[in-house]
Amino acid sequence: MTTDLHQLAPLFAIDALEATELTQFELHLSTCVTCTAEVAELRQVVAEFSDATASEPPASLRATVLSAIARTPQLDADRKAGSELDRASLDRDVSHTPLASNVIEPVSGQVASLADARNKRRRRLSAPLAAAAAVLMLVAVFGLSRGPGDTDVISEVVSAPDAIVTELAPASAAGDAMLEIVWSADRDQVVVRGSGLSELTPEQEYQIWFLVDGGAIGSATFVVENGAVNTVLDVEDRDTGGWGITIEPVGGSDVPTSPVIFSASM
Amino acid sequence: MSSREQSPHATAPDRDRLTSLLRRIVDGDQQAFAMLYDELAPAVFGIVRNVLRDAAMSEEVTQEVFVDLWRQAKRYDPSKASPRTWACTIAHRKAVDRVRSEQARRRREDRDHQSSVMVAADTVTEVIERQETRGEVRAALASLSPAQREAVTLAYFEGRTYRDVATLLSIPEGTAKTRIRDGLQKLRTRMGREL
Repeated sequence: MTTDLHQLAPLFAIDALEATELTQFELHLSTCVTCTAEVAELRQVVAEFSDATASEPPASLRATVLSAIARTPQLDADRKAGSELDRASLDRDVSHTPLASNVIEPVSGQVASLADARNKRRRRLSAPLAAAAAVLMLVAVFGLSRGPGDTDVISEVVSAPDAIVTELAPASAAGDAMLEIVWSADRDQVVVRGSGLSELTPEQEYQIWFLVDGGAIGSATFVVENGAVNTVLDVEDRDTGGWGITIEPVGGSDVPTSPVIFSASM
Repeated sequence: MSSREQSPHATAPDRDRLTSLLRRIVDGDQQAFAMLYDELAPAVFGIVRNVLRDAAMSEEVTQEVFVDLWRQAKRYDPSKASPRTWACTIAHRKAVDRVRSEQARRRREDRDHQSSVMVAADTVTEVIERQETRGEVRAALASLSPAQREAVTLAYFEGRTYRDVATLLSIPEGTAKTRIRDGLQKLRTRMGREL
């Protein structure tokens, strides 16, 4: 990794990086022990100041918090070995194996209701969907692609009570590429975050596909900047058994015109 | 790189006490969580309030932080951070996420008037002047140059990105990065000596 990325460690440690640089640095962090150690140390240093800046919250907050946790299930301990105490463990719960549906967990918020919502969604889906990625089908309805910088909308989607995070698996082990989709069916929106993606020509865009029984339905498109993306897309109101990503002409296609480069079933 | 498992204020007894509370919390012990709340709420609320500067929002985010500590308790790894550092990290992250989404919303709402961002409070100066601030914390902050102190205040205590810091101080982004980085390294050196 370049020296430049190493130099971002202190800024990352205190949450001072720009949103567009976060994903890229997190990817670097997952493989860099030097930066991991530096981030841990600096977080400890700034935590030292918490005594000096301490401030008693209103007494009523205690009861509110205790009643909230009484309603909230705890997450299981199991997670990917070697994952860091960083953003990933703070606010993301990613399904580690793309095909294991039951490890998808809520991002935050009303956890109890999520299981219900997910079960409901699953009941509405009929047959197993494992083969869906292979057979891609016709209907395409396009979402609106927004630029980066909609961080408030991004955080609203990510913290939506029904949000489901899915890490997509690259079709070929090509480099450091990573991509995840956070989907809020209630909001009809997804957040797409990724890095290490190939730059496209001006005539191309990445397109998201809903994987459904027997096929795939084209949805929103997005572009990357320096190989990274972190954006909100409007998607249609529909059930899905998974996600696929292809590269398509600008505006997207009705049927995929190139191989699936990322996919995950849910 | 040396691992700093011990910190001056998070002394070994503090860390051990919180760690043993977390062990009980992992078993779903809500009473232990209440004790953890009592230990950490002022630190968490203080961090969040510095960043958000809004009482109601700070309460909301503090609640989110504690619900998250509860949810993630089984995933806490004592080899990576003390419980206090873990909680402070989550608190800062969530406060920053909130403030940035609020900023973006405000920017959208009044995109016609170039919103003038205020350079706010001198948090670090306040901290230095507080009677109860421990000597080594005061000394570490006082060791920063005024320019570093300003940059670190905006970046950490107020939760700004380095780009915001550059804009607020009318300095190039590279300079903002350097000031924040050098300031933090100096704090690390100063605080590290007490270990």
